[in-house]
Amino acid sequence: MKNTPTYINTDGNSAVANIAYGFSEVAAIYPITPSSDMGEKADAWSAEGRKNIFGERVDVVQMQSEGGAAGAIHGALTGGAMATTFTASQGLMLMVPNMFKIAGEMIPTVFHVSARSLACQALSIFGDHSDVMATRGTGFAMLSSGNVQEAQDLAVVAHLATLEARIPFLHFFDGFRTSHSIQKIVPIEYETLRDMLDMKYVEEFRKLALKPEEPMCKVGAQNPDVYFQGRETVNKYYDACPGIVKKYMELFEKKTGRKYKLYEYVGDPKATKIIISMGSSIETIEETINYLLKKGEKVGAIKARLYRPFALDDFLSVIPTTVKKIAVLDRTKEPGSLGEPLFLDVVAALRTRPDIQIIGGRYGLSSKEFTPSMVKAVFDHVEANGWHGFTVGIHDDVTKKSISVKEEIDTEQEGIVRCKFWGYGSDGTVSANKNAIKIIGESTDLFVQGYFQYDSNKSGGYTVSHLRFGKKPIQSEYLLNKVDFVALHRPQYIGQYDILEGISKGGTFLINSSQKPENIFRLFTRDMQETIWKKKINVYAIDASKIAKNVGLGGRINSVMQTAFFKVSGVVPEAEAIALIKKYVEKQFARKGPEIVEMNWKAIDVTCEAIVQVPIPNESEKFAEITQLIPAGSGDFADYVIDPILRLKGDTIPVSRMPLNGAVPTGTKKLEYRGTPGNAATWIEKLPFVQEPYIAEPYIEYAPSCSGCGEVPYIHLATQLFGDRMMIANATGCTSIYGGTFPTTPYTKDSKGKGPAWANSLFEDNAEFGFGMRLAVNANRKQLKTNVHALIPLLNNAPLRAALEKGLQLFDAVTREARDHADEIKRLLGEEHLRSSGKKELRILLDKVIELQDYFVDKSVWIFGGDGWAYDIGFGGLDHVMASNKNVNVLVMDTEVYSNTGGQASKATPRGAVAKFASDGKKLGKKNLGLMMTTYGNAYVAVVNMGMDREKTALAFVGAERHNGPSIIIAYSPCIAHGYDMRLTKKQSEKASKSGYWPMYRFNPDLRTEGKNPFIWDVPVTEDTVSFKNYLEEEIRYKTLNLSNPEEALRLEELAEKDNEQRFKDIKHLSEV
Amino acid sequence: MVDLTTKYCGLTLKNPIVVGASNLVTDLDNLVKLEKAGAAAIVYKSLFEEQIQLESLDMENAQETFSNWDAEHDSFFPKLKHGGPAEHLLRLRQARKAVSIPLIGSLNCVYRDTWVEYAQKMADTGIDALELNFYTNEVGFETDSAALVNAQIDVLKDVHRSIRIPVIVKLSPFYTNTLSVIAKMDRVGASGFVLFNRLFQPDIDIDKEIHHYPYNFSSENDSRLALRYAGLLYSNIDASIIANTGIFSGHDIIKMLLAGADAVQVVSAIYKKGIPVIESMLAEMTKWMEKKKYPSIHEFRGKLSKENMIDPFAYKRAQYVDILMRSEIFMQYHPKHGELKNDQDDL
Repeated sequence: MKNTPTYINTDGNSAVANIAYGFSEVAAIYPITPSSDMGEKADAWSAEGRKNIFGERVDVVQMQSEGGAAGAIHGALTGGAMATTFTASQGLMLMVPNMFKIAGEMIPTVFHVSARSLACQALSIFGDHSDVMATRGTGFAMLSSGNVQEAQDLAVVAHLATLEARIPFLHFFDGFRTSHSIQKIVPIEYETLRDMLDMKYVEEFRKLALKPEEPMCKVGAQNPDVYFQGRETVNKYYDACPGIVKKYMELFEKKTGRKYKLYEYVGDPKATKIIISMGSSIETIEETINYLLKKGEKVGAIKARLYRPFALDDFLSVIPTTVKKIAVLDRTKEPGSLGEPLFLDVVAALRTRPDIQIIGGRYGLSSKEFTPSMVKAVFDHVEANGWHGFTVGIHDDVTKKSISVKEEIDTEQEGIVRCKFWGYGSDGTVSANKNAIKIIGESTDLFVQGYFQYDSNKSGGYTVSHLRFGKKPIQSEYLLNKVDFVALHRPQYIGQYDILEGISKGGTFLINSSQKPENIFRLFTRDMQETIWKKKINVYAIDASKIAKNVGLGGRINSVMQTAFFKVSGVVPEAEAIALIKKYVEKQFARKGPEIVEMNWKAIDVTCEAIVQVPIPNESEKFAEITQLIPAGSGDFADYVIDPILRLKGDTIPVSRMPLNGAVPTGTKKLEYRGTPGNAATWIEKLPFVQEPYIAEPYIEYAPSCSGCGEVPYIHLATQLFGDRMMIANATGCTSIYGGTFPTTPYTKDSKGKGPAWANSLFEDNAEFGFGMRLAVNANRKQLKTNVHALIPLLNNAPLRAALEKGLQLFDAVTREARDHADEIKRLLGEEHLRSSGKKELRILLDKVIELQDYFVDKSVWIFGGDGWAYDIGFGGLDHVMASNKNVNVLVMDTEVYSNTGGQASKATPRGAVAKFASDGKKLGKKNLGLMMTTYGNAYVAVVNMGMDREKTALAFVGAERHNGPSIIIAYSPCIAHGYDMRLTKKQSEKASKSGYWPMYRFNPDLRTEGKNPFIWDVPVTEDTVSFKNYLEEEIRYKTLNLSNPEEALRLEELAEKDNEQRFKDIKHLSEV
Repeated sequence: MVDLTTKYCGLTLKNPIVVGASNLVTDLDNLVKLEKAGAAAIVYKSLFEEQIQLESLDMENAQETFSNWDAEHDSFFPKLKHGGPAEHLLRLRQARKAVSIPLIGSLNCVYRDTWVEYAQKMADTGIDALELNFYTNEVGFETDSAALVNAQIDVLKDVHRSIRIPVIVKLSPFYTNTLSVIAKMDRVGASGFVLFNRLFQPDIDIDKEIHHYPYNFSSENDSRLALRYAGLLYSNIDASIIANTGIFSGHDIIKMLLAGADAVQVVSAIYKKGIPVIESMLAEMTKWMEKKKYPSIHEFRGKLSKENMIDPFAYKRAQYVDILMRSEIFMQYHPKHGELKNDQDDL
């Protein structure tokens, strides 16, 4: 047992990654939110040469998908290396096949999962147990952690237990709530890990490694005669597993003093009603129970940690004999089941106890809040013999399964200080708050918790930081609903968000404002003013932008706001707080020179002097109106769904208001946004080869992408050329997030009500998804044609007959004439339908043709995605689709990095660029996807760069669409992950092509059929008009390597130049065919 | 043919022209051209620790630009540490490869430990000597002059102990007694002194009412201070004497050598007149030596130093005053014109 523990502030991902790194020799990874940080950390540590507990650097490899990562792990384990991986959600789903194999072969490993929702009616990056619960049949042991400390500690237990048990472990903790929450925990030294590890089991593991010196044939096929028996060989290991986990929990306690049990009972030993749950909810439940016990309630809870193998005896032993009623909470949904997984296990476990009434309920899907008031509501529901299959935390007004939360309770520890900050993406608020937690957590005895909420729009939006400071460890695993201090860094939010929601009596409100103090009160809404009067709120103001500018900090207001928080929040006494922050600044900038320290100190002093208390008048005639966010009369969906979501009140939307399948009407983004809708590609109308400028209206507007996003112009172009007959399959990624995040979409309709129809399946399957759409269109058109042929001879209506005959003649045309004619057919069919009372056969055929009448003109099927999809995870599918003869059009918006998950390297990342998973610069050259696609011979391939030449780009789009077969356009797409001022994208795009890095060309197989050269240079790279260096030196992704490791940067730069030459030669070869 | 070789901090140079530290030398092509033009040695551009500090702060800020953007973007770039002097060292290694004449590094640090750390790293690149650029621009009123001098001497001692190549000091003339400082540094291992550093002197734009930073080239008369100190130092220190500032011709070099300098550093002349100026300087020197029948520099170096002057007042203040008082221009513009002739103390 150690003496007084030392603490660190860390989040769940970092704490777990640290342990996994210690115990592993190999990590095969793939980015997916919210687990990416674990892989990124491991990769960064490996890059800097950090050693594991065996004294070796971990070999961290990025794979093309989670399926690939799991395969590599399986191979590494088979080869005798201790291997680990990190994943979540769909990533875990892709690992399932290998998980069955790894478990079936009894190979020890640990997969660390920051549990996340699965994509169903929509994806969600947030936390619940849908993913891990979907793997419960794989044979992996499953260990669940409820907070950051536990996530670290049980990660250790998992790594130790797996080796002895020979059963692979899935260790999970709640995505975001635990993975991204910063808490003060006691770290573990690698020395302690080494102490706990019995090397005997490592040796036993290694002994099983596949090697020719002791050859064997590992795992072949088994037939019906023996497979079943083979399956049963594992039983004794599963029987022994809980005992092994328990043993290591006890050893862990001996070494660290922290005690864990497989199933831990908390509450009244004579409780009559208990809750059983897993994950971070158990913390909130325990906090609530402690509150309820003080009120005299006989309640308790079981924290389930080892979910698989389910240890029956251990589980039964912790249930108090007095218990009569149990509510089992599951953070997942299994539609159609009799109950969710944990409930079913508990029912099975207690099958011999008919005296206990057990009900199950769902909570917290997609990080839905789960608060003490909800815990109390569950106990009340159980007490009242409430229904099984309940939900808590939402209002289900359709099937009435939800229970209502009648009483709001405050269960938090005495003396807790809760601080909420309203900021804007990347304005420094969140990083300043992370600093504040660090400073206070590491310099005082206070425990801390920090959780950060963000807008999902890529265009930047609100951030809300939730900080807690307490004298005891903080168990409140939910957002702040009672607040002692509120800081508003962005006054524009007044009127849109409920800024002072939950502020306590006598609380503090700090606002960043350039107004004079006496004018500030009138800036608040009437609600805010009432709250300030009623709760006697102390309001302070500071003009952070002015101070930041005056002291030389530029536009970064975070230091100023951080100081103001330290001064007025009262978390730490003022004088001590200022001393702390100054000491921190000194430490932070110690090697940046005394002037920098001085400048920051000065900012602190100036801030302290500049904070003013806002005078609160006894009455105020002036106040701010509630901002009208959407135009009046926009309809029920706008009023009851869009509006509350924009006000961060989406939690109140009842089930009845939600669409069944996640679909939203197009043309809705404009309801949210003012200002300009974006740059429509009106210039295409003037192009000679665009014979029919179909429509002047844009089909995408107010796209909430990052400012300067290089993808959106291509979508503008494609949709404006083909939007009125376009179907889009969109791979998960930035384009799907800004293209299709509930409740609005930037895709819109023209004056005829037509426009792109858009759908997103997954990340990995998008080529196949779009391919399937093409098959459906073909099937419907085939059916239409058959029925039209059959209908014509039966028709007496001569004009309709003629129109249908012409329709068949124009069947393969997409010209204006064909489309106008299709409209005419529809009109005539409608008329015929009204008057026709003819034969039954005619009637049936007419109905059929009317059902399929939208298919007279062919659809333009498009497959949108980024490079992560096209080059990596979706490449297998893309390859297959491109090798087909089906008419689909693929648009790869190549940002050369996984933009949506935070900038991880893909196979499109060029050599020498720095990205996550390539922190010392990408070592290999960019995959030449264009060249590869030309090898099929039948595919139209274009490599384009809008910033270089938009007309040639448009030409490529038109050519791709006209080609009756698969087409692919690979589009150079500037991204903020390249790291330069996005106002300069055009200039930088030009440099990309002129430097020889991004040649523009088209490969049109139709030309070959005509006996012509299929290859056309659009920007031939015959000579460098801009040096490659000149292109590189503009971008942070290259510059940082120059600054951190110039020698390597130079080496890679030289090789990258050779890549350019080689790429040019390879393509030039095509042009000479 | 006259012999132009000279000793420079333990190195033998083919002539006394050393190209001083400047941006001129960062281009490898220029380095080669300078060598071809006849430069005997080159001082590579200074490595400033402050620049690294600012660069590393900039780099951190750049990497943070889009941090905490949304739930999936804590950051967009992996957290990389600035490589410190790595880029400079790389350039230095490239420069070392590019020329065969002696290459001298130049260093200016903030912290005592980095002086040593960077000096060792620079020495490892294969340079022939290291110039410590004691460039301090005092703005505070608290620092005691002795403390400042002692700190510099400590740095010199530390660096001298930690590397094997000659250590040269480039210093400013603004000490209470510059000669005493030089003497102290001479005793703790300086192999040469560069006279002197040109300090950062911003100008003011009176229309815009802002500071501006014109390119501060030396002009022809700027050589006088170094000339005087070369004369004072000659034969009084073991270290080499290197004059810089205001050297625009072969004749200027000869003056410095006559005063006692071992070599000179030129920068402004090259900026103003181009790299070929080195050739013409050498030609002028040769021509003068031939005319004066000096077979080698050794024959006349220090001839006009304080040590070798018969007139004991040559380097005294009285001499200086006398020059001034005889100057018509001076008298014309002096506010006490006409009253001053017999009142020298007033100056």
